[in-house]
Amino acid sequence: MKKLRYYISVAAMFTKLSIQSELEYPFMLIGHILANSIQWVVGFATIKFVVDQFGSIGGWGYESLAFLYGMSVLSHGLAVVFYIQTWYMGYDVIEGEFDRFLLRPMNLVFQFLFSDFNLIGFTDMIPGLIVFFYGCAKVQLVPSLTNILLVICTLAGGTMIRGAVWMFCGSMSFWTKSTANFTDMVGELFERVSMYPITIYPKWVQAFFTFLLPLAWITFWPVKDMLELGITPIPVPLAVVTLIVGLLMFVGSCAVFKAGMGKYESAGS
Amino acid sequence: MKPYIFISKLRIQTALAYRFNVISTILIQCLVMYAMSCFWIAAYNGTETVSGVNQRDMITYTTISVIMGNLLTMGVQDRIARSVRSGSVALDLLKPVSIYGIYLAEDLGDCAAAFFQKAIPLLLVGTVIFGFPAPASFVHFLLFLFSFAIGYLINWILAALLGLCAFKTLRLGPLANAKGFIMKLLSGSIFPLWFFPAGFRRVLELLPFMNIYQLPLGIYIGQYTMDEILLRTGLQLFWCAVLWLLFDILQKKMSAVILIQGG
Repeated sequence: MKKLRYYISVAAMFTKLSIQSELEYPFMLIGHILANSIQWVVGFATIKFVVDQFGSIGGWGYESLAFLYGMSVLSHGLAVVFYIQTWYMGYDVIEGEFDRFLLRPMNLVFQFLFSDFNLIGFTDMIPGLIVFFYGCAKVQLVPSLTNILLVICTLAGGTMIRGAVWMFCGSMSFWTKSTANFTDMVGELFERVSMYPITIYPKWVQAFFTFLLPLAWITFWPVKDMLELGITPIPVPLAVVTLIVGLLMFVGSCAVFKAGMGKYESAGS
Repeated sequence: MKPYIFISKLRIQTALAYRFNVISTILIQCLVMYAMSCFWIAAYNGTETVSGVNQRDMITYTTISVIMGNLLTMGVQDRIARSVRSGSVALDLLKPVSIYGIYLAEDLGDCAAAFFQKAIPLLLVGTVIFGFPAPASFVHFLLFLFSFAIGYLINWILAALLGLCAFKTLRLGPLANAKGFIMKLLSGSIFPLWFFPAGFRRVLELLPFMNIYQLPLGIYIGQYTMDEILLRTGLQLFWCAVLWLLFDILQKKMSAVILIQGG
């Protein structure tokens, strides 16, 4: 119990320090809000215009697309808040930055997960919420307790899936000892399978992203289920499956990180 | 001219040294190309033409757009920001050549390297998956090349203009992101402007961005009549000249406010 309280206080301190250092540059924050609003609001608007011309895409009208897109931006924003440190793991390995973690008498995974709370990620959430609420209104989603819980499950699961994939990619640096960065590649992949309905891809691609690399669970399946766009053979809401997939990926990514730390040899000088 | 050509050559050699970068870029771009083509196939879903364009044209549009994107990567804006921040801009200015000429030569060198390292492999992959993205005619292809070249210059000047902001702000940060998103969304690189509502389209046609992707690509797939091509290329040249003038005035002003930090 005492230990738990200690860990919570450390996490709170880490978070406080990260926020304070971000707030040192207020114009940076405002700039990011503007840039991300352009990215997501204009980004969605252009998709809407195109889909309007065609009527629907992969069986989805722009209303359901708005909801899907909003959910995707929200879990993206959350993942950027909590997992930004995974983008620079290659650098950390090469420069010996993990030495500091090893010196402290605390759990390594805990330290890594809480080492950087990125306030800037919330700048994605503002345009994300705009598109999300627009989508909610368009698909006439009832703000019932069930729906709210389903949205929360999806966002939590989606965030963990995204973070876990970043962490897997980042942890590769422990073995390859290179700063090779997969962030762009993974980001492009996330965008393609979580902002557009995966029904636009051939069946084998859909199967791949459902069973092998479960990215279709970030938004597609739970949203499809919530909007009742088809019947599923699974008795529980698919948002719950997303949460379970997210938790499994989270545990897996922590295990890989730990295994990687075993290989870490403080290459820095 | 000799020093500039030498710089371009150096850049090509540098680009050849980074193999991982090339492979990962090609993978990402293949992914984008494939995903966008799937998007168009799903959108058309058997319909003949929408807004006067058919599915084949849109796949060609996407393939060529992705290839163009790799040739249009501009280093100049970060280059200026980096030189200003580190103070090396002072040394650059001392050299008996134009620094912006050097920056342009660097980017042209990158472009030449990208042509062989990225454009050709992507063209091959695109051809294998979706068939050869053929231009409307040989004449259209030549006009496309011309339009692309002017578009390249406009894109470069826009990047350089943003880079000049670094003289004042020292860092570009989110400014660079905002510019990147505007370019990506409003230049026709993903969705051509003819799918947008008339009012929005008219506004975009007044801005310089569509001259970078939309115009050359529209010419390539034969979406414009010859009269339109002449008119729009005229406008494109006009934009290029205006932006160049603006850049020339600003860069002179900015060299007066250089703040050397570090050193």
